[in-house]
Amino acid sequence: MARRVAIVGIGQTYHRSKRPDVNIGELSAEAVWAALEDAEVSEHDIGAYITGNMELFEGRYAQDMWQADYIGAVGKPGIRVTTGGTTGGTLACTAFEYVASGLYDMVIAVGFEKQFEGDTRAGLKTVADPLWSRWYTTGAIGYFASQARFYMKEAGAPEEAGSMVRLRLAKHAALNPHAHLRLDLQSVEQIMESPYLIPPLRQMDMCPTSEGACAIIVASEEKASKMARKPVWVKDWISVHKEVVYIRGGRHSVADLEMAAGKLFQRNGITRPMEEICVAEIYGPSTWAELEWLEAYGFCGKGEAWRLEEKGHFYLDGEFPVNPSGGVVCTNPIGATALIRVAEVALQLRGGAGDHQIGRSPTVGFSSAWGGSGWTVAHLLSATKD
Amino acid sequence: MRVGIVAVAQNRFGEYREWRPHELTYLVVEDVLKKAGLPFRDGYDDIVTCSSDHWDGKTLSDIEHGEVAGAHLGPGETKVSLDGANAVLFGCIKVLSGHADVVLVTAACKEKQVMDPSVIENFGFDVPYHQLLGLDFTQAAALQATSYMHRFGLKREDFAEVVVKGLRNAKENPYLFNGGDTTVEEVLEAQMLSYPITSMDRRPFCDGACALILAKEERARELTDKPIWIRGLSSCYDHHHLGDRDLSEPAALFRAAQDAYGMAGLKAPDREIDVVEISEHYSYQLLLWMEGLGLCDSGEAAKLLRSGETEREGRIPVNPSGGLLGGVPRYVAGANRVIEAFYQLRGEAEGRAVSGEPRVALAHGTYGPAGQHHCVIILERGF
Amino acid sequence: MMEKKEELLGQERILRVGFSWSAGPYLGKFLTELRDNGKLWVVRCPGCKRVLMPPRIVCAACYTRVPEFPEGWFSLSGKGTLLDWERVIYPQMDPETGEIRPEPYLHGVFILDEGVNLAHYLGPEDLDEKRLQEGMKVEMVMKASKDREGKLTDIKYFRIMEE
Repeated sequence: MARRVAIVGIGQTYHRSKRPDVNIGELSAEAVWAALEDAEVSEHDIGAYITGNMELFEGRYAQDMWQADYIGAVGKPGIRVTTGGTTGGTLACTAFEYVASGLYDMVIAVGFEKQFEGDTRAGLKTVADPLWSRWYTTGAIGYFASQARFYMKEAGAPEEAGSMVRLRLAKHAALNPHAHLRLDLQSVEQIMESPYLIPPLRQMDMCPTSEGACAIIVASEEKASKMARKPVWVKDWISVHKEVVYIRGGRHSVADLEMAAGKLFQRNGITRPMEEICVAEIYGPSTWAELEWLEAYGFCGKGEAWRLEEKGHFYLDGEFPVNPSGGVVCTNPIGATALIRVAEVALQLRGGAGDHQIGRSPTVGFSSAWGGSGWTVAHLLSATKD
Repeated sequence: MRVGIVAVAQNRFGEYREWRPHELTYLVVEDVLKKAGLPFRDGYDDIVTCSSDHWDGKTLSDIEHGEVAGAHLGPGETKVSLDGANAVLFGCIKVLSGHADVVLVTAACKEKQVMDPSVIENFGFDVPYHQLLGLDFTQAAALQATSYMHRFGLKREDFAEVVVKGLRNAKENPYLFNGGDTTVEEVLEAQMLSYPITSMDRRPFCDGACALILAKEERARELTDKPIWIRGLSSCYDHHHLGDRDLSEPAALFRAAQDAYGMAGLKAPDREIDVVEISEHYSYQLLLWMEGLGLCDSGEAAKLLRSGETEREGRIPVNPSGGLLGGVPRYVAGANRVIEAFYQLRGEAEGRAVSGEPRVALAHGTYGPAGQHHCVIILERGF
Repeated sequence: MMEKKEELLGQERILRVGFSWSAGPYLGKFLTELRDNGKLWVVRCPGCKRVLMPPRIVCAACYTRVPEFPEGWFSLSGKGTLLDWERVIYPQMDPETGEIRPEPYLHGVFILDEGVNLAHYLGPEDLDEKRLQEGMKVEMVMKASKDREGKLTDIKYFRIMEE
């Protein structure tokens, strides 16, 4: 790394299913102002603006252009990166690279989505090749229904496993004022009454579509060290993509997850991730995905995740807290979702997560993003510089 | 630490009914890797693609473009959904950040597959505000062109002159299809799109792709004897609402250029730059962007063009390639400017080389209504 | 006293953009053969020998360029076994018409005998889902020749082969 970088400001909106009170620019601006206030800097201190969202959603084009005035990018350098579900994760990586390059001392990355303004399902259907599977595609739901079926079969997991995850996420979200879905769920049985989308995937197993934005301010080591609030240091980041998924269904490959986490851990000397990492905000578009992917990242062995979930291992006060924010299943403004993972880990590491703060002072955190044709972006953050 | 461009590739832009967008990307990736002597996937650490979901008609157009660039379980990939010059800029930043030593940059667009480009452009305007006026980029450009004309007393003939010179230059460029001999009268009589812009004043829509390999200094020297260093880079946004801007004042370009010059250590760019490749999506833009880049005073570009000083043998050659008017697709545009500048500095611009031995070049990209966003890259010969 | 709630203004649009997508030489050949001869034509990667369906310009796994028809290309029997299926209950829009499909309907994923997967409808309409078991033999049923358009929907569905 050319120079060390740190997250010095975090902002997000109070995510909801609809925000008819603001337009897209105003939504992003809320997150930007929150981040500026959090970092105690003004837009004059920001050297570049990095924006992104699902490019085709909201039926808009070139969103960065009209957003520029709202977020303060006028007169400033800026770039737009759009990598689907991983956009938020890529926004963070881009911000880290901009500052690490030495060209900018402080930048802001902003991700947003205002999904009710568009047709999310239509937007997701157009991921499918127009000449191959577009006629057929059931979008994300079909993908995750298939994933759930296979996890159950191969891990020997009962149908309750998905609902166990959902209960944990609901309990966490209840303590996170920014989360979108803060349902009062008390038991697995209650969640098992949720209707099916495509069996065995239930409505409650799947992430919602939310309207919201998130922003992080990244600064150079020199600038970060002089700031009032404790910076959150960025240790490393990685991005792994896969080829086009022409055939959905059957066993979906998790090679991207395995490779991303594997390389990230290996380059940072982490051999027992569940012990050496204190908190994880993983991108889980469905409850079942969280289980399979915790295994794919290498936190636990194949087939183990649901058993650990059953024991309460991943709760806020458990051995290895996963998604203390409530995760993607509770909050999903796609262009911001992966950035929220980074933001939430950063909040945990500096002790600023309020009611959903992990008790023991966490020192190392892992955040991940997922999307595309099975792409993973992952980051390692640290409370200490070394 | 310097970042060098070690190899480039592009296809001859035109209409490619026989290939899909990512297949065009593959052809240039295959070509550029061969030129750089690098293997697929293992030869580079990162990939930056540039494409548009809207123009590809597909969410996550980078799945396909990334796949053919070697992204499968290999180097990561990031899609820049702005003009291609920004993909080159970002590739350079990735190397400077230390996170990658070698980066593959691609840009591709098949404009001819889109039946309603104006609809897409129209949705780039603020909904629910001036999108309802039915504006597209050509109309916004027309507003800017008239604003420019009124401020400096320019005439349509001044813009037509840009087309005549541009198309003449394009004749010698093997990558451009729109080259030819024309006259000011022919341009003025062409079909009016939006006053004062006629069909000949606008860049023709077409298909194509291009690719570049960027590498950190030591690696660049291993890969080529003729590296071209990126010495300066910057970008800048202007206001979005056309009414918030003085359209005759390319403020964002001016900022981006000054930043890039500062980084490159250029104090008098109009004298220190040997060749300029500008993104003129419309004829008037060649003149307005020349002024924004500080190559001459405001309102003086038309005179500079007429003086002959911007010809290939002139003092400050501008678009010796034939420019975008010669036929370059959007998104590819800015990256193509970088590639043309690269060829000039390497002495490989067959048929269209500027005279002398150029050392410093400027490449420029722009996107958004009436050039709302600009990107400037300064290149220098490294041998 | 009642407070007047401020009206939140919004606007609606339908975005309609026409596209003319090229199939290219690889997918184009596949779709032409499907339409004209009711056959699935695929290609074996010259590098890693993976069967590529749909055929494509480069194999992303081993990075070998794939030759255009006919080198390495062969046609499939259209027979295979059932791997997975799902009953789609959640309303789905047909991307070509914008209409909502009548549900529920069955999708299946099939492992074709030559070692590639294909996902498509399971039919006919009166198929009893409860009979379905992984491993059952399936075969492709094409639409009548006059109804084929050079799209994957030229395949009507896959059906379970009776013993």
